[in-house]
Amino acid sequence: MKAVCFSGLRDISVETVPDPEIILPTDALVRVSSTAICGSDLHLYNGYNPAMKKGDILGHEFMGEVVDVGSEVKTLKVGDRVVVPFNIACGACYFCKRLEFSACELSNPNAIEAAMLLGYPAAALFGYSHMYGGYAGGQAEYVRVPYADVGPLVVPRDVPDEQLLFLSDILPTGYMAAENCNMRPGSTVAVWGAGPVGLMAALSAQLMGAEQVICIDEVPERLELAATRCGAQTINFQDCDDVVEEIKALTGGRGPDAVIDAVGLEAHGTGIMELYDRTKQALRLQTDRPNALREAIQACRPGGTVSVPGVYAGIIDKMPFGVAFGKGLTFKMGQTHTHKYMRTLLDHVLNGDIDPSFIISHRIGLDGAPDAYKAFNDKHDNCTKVVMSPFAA
Amino acid sequence: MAHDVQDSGGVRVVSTAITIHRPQREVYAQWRNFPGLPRFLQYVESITEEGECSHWIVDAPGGTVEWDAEITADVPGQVIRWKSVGDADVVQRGEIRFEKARQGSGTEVYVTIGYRPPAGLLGVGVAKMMGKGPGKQIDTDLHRFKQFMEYGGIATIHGQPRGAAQHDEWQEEQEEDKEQKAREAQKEGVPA
Repeated sequence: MKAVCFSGLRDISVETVPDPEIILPTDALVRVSSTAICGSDLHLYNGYNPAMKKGDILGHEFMGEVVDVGSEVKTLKVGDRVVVPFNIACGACYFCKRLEFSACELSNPNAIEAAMLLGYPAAALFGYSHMYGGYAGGQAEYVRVPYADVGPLVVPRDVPDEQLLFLSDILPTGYMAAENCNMRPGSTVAVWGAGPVGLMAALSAQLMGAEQVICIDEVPERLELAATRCGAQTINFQDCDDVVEEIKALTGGRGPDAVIDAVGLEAHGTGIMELYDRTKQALRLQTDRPNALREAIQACRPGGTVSVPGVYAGIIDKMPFGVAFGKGLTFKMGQTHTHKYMRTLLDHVLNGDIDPSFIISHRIGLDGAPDAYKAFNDKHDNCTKVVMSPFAA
Repeated sequence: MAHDVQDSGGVRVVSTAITIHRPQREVYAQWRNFPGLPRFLQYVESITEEGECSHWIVDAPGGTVEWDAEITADVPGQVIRWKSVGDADVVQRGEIRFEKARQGSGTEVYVTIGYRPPAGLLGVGVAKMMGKGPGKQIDTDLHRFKQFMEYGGIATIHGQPRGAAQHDEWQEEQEEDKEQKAREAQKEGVPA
């Protein structure tokens, strides 16, 4: 089959690889109808994950049709149309039983290596390095899906892929980020990053009754989507001297009730802190660039909530923790418990409350992956979201 | 999973702990079934039991190591202690303790193993098997045991597709799978 493979730093190849097979009796095989490139795939592309191997198949946002199931699969059937969550969860362990699926203790065959490296046995993800299990990803014609009765969500046939695909990651991720804000009707929230997750968080905040949503980014077309599709006020941080002051000016001088960092470890910024982070990261004295998080902490109102769906991987510094303490902020963060939200969000999509397809800017086949990774990484060509259809004519 | 390693007088002592989300008696019973342990213990080829004694055969890089072990304590649901006897390749003693978990309804499993690695090439092999950080193999095996207890199977990506850069590894795994299947077919009839 054809698959998108990691071939080294900023090097993506489309290769013919062996077809996947059922390995364990609880596996299913899915024929992929649509698969997307996620912002977090760019962290791999840019070499932030040392546990990637050349030849690893990428991708963790995908959907398709079940073409085979193992002998112990009970509910999923051949022919089912499914969306597959990006994290892999067993459904049986202590954390899965608590619906904290992203903390699954069993799904990662390399859990001990992960624990030695990270200090905890991270759950597995599709296509996201050997630290997270090394499972082949979904940017391919076929994928082996473990724990087939736990992850895949069966979806109706009469709704287009583009409205459903993002149930695999960014829609639940944005939704959980908003839920983590303890929002009430009338709440105000500021979102750093108007990329796919930030836009989904803005949309979810509206759905939960937020009265004011402010989106911060530097890419004009992304800010336009935030304004026109998510009802947000927008701030282009390249056009203003002080983002924090600008936000306070929009929120009665007090700051928003909640702030969301939908940027994560590769934040861009301006001024001296940007230079500081870039230098430290280049010297490997710091793994992540936490510019967005610093601003979010400074902008949040006293007693407010800082919600972090943006991915952080390592160590950061110069955090204004005294400000966070002084204001009595609540921090909520982490990988999305995707499985927990998929059904609720499917209902929202079917009811017409949410149609996330507006973020898609590029529709291609798998062969276009190398160029698409580059365009998405460079934010060229108005690239907000790339969807690949492996079998499209 | 938090192992601690100490050396004293040529004996290496590794202790570690893991919480398994199953009742104490069940976890104990599964472990007490020695002939079934090779399912979780990656390098253990076979364990046969004769009365109070068991015979262990372990694949180590550099050769097979064998020893006889006798049970020195066995309290159902709580603890099993053993030590190697006679002319063992790896002189060792160990303890596995089962306690009711303080979090949730599971079992806290505490393992302590003291061993004296053999000299020479085989010793290097045993050291290699125990992983770069000693204790890593014990943690890996306990995680496999946990998976079996909680889910009934052990997660793997063995044999999955990948790009040309990993073609050799892929081919190796295909052959290992074939050998494994042949071995399993041979083992049929051994009680699980």
